[in-house]
Amino acid sequence: MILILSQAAGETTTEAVMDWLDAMEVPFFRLNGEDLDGAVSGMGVELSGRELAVTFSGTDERLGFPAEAVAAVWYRRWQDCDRFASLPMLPPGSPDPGRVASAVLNHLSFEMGRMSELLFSRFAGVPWLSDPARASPNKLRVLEQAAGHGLDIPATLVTASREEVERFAARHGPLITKSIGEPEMFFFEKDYFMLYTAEVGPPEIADLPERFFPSLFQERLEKKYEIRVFYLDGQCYPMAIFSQLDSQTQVDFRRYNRTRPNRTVPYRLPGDIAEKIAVLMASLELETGSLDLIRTPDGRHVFLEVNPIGQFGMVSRPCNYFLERRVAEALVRKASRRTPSKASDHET
Amino acid sequence: MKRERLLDRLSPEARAAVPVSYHLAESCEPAEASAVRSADSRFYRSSGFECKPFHKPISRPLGPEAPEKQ
Repeated sequence: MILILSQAAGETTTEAVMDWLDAMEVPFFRLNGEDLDGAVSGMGVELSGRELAVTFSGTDERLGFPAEAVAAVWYRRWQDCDRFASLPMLPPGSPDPGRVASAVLNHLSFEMGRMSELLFSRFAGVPWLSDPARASPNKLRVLEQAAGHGLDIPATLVTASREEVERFAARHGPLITKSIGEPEMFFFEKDYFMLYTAEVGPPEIADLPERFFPSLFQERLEKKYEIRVFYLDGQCYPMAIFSQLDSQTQVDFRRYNRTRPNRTVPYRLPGDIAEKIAVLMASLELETGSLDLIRTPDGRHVFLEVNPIGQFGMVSRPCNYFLERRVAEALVRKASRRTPSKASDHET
Repeated sequence: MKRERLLDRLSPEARAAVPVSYHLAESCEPAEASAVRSADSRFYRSSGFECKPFHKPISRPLGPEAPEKQ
């Protein structure tokens, strides 16, 4: 059986892979991170000896399978405590609400994280596709490794000083800034804000305070087009995104123009770039991931970053790559490498 | 749609504390509902969890193309 670790919402890709496993008549079980939070799903996970039991509150249902029945694990994504962020943690008028609410949130997040780690450790002995421990690599370390393997990377600076930014801009021209870690979203009732990659020109630099929280800056590369590469098992599936012709998407294609979407086409990477990507992914111990590159007007392929658990439906559909099928097949290959003890012996 | 700045929603103390990406973040247009499917792992929408072929819960269409409830 293949265990799929996912999140409940926004995972059409997971469902498409499940469709393929279904078609191949491969048994699988999907567990969403939210399922650990019994208050939301009415579902809980009980670990007892070597058995993983899935229980449902308010019913006598108790469905379980021994850890040995799992032949491979796909770590797609995992959402474990999103619900808590919107809960009012303290009654109105409480002293120091920010500090206490933040402490409660941090603690809940830590507890859920530890519970998730315990769950994942149950399956340490079976092959995984994507590893939660490597799902969010450090962007700066990845850039360093990419450069070490011969890939072009943008000039990059992390600084807390406006003066440093001015000097960097004098050398490299217009800049962009983005999160050092992951981009965050902020919801204010109906409005939301996302920390997209943003351009930093002379007016924006002039507006900066003299000192600020350490921030990542990179040279803003001229784009002929962007390239999103889905990588799986040594194979690159690249797609060119013509985002530079639309002012809304030219700095960050994720600012989707839904009225007039960017043109996207299958792309063939030069062999040496594909090889360097494979070497980089091997050095990061990643079997799969979504990589972003920029093709510059002077013909360079500049590597930006890799997301080990990025969405790939956006590459699969326009390019007819059938990536969901390829992921399902990769999972089956992994599962066949470790033939578990006869599943029927372990039915509970 | 009038774009608002994230920085304007933060307190003066927070404005001084955050990275530069916050200074440049603006409100986003809400994404329109698209016809996607959602399936979850609720037991009552599925059958045969236990070491047998697992039948995926019937996908529930969302968005404008979703069929109306009977």
